[in-house]
Amino acid sequence: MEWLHFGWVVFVCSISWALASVLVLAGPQRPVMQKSALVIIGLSIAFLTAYVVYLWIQLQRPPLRTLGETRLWYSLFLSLIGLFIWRRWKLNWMLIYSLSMALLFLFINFLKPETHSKTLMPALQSVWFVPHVIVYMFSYALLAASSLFGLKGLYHIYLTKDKNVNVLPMADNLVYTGFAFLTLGLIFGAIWAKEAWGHYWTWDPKETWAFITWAGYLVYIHYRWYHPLRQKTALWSLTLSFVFLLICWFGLLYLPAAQNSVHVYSN
Amino acid sequence: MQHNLTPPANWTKGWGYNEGWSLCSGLILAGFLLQWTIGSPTIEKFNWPYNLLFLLGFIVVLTAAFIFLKNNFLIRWLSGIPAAVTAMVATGILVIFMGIVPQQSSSVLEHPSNLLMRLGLTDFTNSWPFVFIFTYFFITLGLVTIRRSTPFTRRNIGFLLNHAGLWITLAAGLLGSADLKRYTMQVTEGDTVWQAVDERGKAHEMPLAIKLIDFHIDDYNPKLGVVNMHTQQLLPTKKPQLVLLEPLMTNIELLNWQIRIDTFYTEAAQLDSNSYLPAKVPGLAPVAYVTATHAEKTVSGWITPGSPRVAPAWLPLGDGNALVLTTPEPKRYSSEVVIYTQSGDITNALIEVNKPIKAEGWNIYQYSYDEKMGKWSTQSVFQLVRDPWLPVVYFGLILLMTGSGYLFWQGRKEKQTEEEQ
Repeated sequence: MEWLHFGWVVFVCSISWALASVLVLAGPQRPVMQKSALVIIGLSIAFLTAYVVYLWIQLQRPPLRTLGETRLWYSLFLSLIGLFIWRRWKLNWMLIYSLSMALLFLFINFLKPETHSKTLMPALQSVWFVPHVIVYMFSYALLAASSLFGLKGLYHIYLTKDKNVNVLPMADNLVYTGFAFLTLGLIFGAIWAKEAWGHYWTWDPKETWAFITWAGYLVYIHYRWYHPLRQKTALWSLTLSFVFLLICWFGLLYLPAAQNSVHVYSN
Repeated sequence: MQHNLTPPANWTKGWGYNEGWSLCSGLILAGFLLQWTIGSPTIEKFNWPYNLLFLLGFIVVLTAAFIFLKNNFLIRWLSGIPAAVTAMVATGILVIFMGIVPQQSSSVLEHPSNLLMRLGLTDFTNSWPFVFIFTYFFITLGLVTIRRSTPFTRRNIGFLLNHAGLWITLAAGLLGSADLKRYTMQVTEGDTVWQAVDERGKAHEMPLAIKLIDFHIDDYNPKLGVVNMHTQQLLPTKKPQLVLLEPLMTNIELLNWQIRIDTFYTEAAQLDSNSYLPAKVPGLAPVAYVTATHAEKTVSGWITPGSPRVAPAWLPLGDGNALVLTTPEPKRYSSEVVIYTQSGDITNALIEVNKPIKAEGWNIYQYSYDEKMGKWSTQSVFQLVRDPWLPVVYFGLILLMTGSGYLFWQGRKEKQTEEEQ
C-alpha cells in the first residue's frame, strides 16, 4: 500500500533539519539562532508525528507491522530523543548525529517504497522492538564518543606525558547518559523477549555480552565516583568496557559460543 | 572540586581492595574445587517456598547486621566501595566465562566428562563459583542499599531506585528460576492434549488441555526469479534477483527479459498440463501464466513452485535458464484452539507468535509447527510458561528504568559531598 503524501514529509524534514543544524552550529553566543533551531525542530517533529497518526488511520491498524513502518518510528524517535539530549546536555554533535540518522531512515523509506508493505518476521512485530533498537543506537553513540575521550586521555598519559590534561569529567557525562540508555536497552530487550519467546533472559551470547558491557561501565562509574584522582585505572576500564561493547556488537559473529544465538542476523 | 572519598585506614581495619581481590579469588577457587568434587548445586530443589524463605531470611540477616554490627569493621568494609567494585568485577569475570564457553543446560547432560563440564563452565549459572560470587555481590549491594536508605532524603532517591531495583530484579530472577516452568505441547489438528513435556522429555499432567482446531500459516506471495537449469541456482549467483509478485503487477524486468504477468493466482489447483483453476482447498500452490520477451524471442507458459497437490512448473528461456516462482515464505502463523481447564471452563482462542494467551496461571505461546510439512502442517507446537516471580522482576525493572531516568537527567552534576562511611 502506498504511503500518500510521504514525499512532503521527507521534503519538510530535510529542509527543517538541515536548516536547524546550521543554526545550531552558529554558536551559543547567538541565542536567537538556538531558539529558532529549537522551534524548527519542534515543529518538524510535530509534523512527522501527525503523519504517523495519519498513516495509523489510513492503515486502520498501528503502523508496527512492516519494515517501512519500523523505519518511520526510528526517524521519529531519533529526532525526538536527539532533541531531548541536545536540550539537556547541549551536545551539538549529538543533535546533528540524531537528525542525520533520522533523515537517513526517511530517505531509505522514500527510495524503497516496496518496504512499506514488507511484513516483518512475527517475533519482530512487537511494540518493544523499536524502543529497544533506538535506545541502543543512542547508547552506543554516546559510549563510542566517551571512548574517544578515553583514548585521548591514554594518549596524554602515556605518549605526551602531559599531567595537566584530564578528559575524564567530559567522558563521565557521556558515560552517565550512555549508560542510562544502555540499561534501558537491556530492560526493553528483556521485556520484549518475555513477550515473544516466553522468557526475559536466557543467557543467549548477545545477552551475556550485553551484560558484560553493562558491568564494565558500571565498574567505571563507581570507580570514577570514589577515586576521581586515579586517572590510569579509570581510563583503562573505560577502554576495556568499550572493547566489550564492540564484542557484543560485532564480535559475536566470530565467537564459537555465539553461533546459536537468536541475535545472529546473517545466515 | 577535589575530595577524597576513601575512608581512613583504621575504619575498616585496613581492609581495602587487596582483601576484596583475595576474597573473590578464594570464593572462585573454592567454588571450582567444590564443583569438581560434588558437582552442581541442585537449583531445581530450591523452589517455592524455600526460595522465598531464603530471600526473606537474607534480607532480615543483612538488616540486622547493619543495625547491630554497624561499627564492625567487616560490615563497614562490606558496605564500602572496595568490596562493591571487587564484587562487580568478579561477577563480570564469571559472566565473561559464560560468554566464551558455549552454555548448555546441565539438566540435559547425563554424565559430565570433559574438563569444562566438570568445572561447571558449560552450565555456569548452576555452579558453585556462581553461587558464591553472587552471594557476595548480593551482600555488598544489599548492605549499601540499606545504608543509604536511612535517613531517607530526596537526594538518595536516584541511588535507591538503581541499587534496590537491581537487587530486586537479580534476586527475583535468580531465586525465581527454580519455580520457572517451560514446557512444550505438541498437538495435532482435532486432538485434545492434557500433557506437556519439559526440557528433559519428562511428561507432566497439566491443569489445562489444548484442542487444536486449525493451524494456519499466512504466506507472502511467491517471488519471480531466473534459475540456471543445470546448477539449479538462482541468478545472478552472488546476489539473486527476485521480484515479489503483487496482485496488480503486470510488467517486470528481470535479467534483460521483459516479463508480462498474464495471470496470477495465489492458490490454484491443476486441471491438466495446461490449465489451472483458482481454489481454496488445502495443498494448492501459487501459479502464474507469464510471457517473457528478449530481443526477438518470446516464450510463454505456466510457472509454479508446486505443492503436495500441484506439480512444479517452470518456463525455459532457451539459453539454459528458466523462469521460476519460488516457494512462498511464511508471514504469520497461528493456531485456532479450544482450552479446557480442570475447573470446567471451555474457551475458544487464537494463539499467534508474539500474542500468547493466559490460562490457569500459565502463558501459552505459539512456538513452532511441523516444518517438514511446512504450510500444510497439521501440527502445532505450543510453549507453556509459568513464572510466578515475574511480577517481582517487573517491579525491580520499573525501579531500574526510573533510576535510569534519574541518571540521564542528573548525570554527574549531583553535588558531591564528603561520603559518610
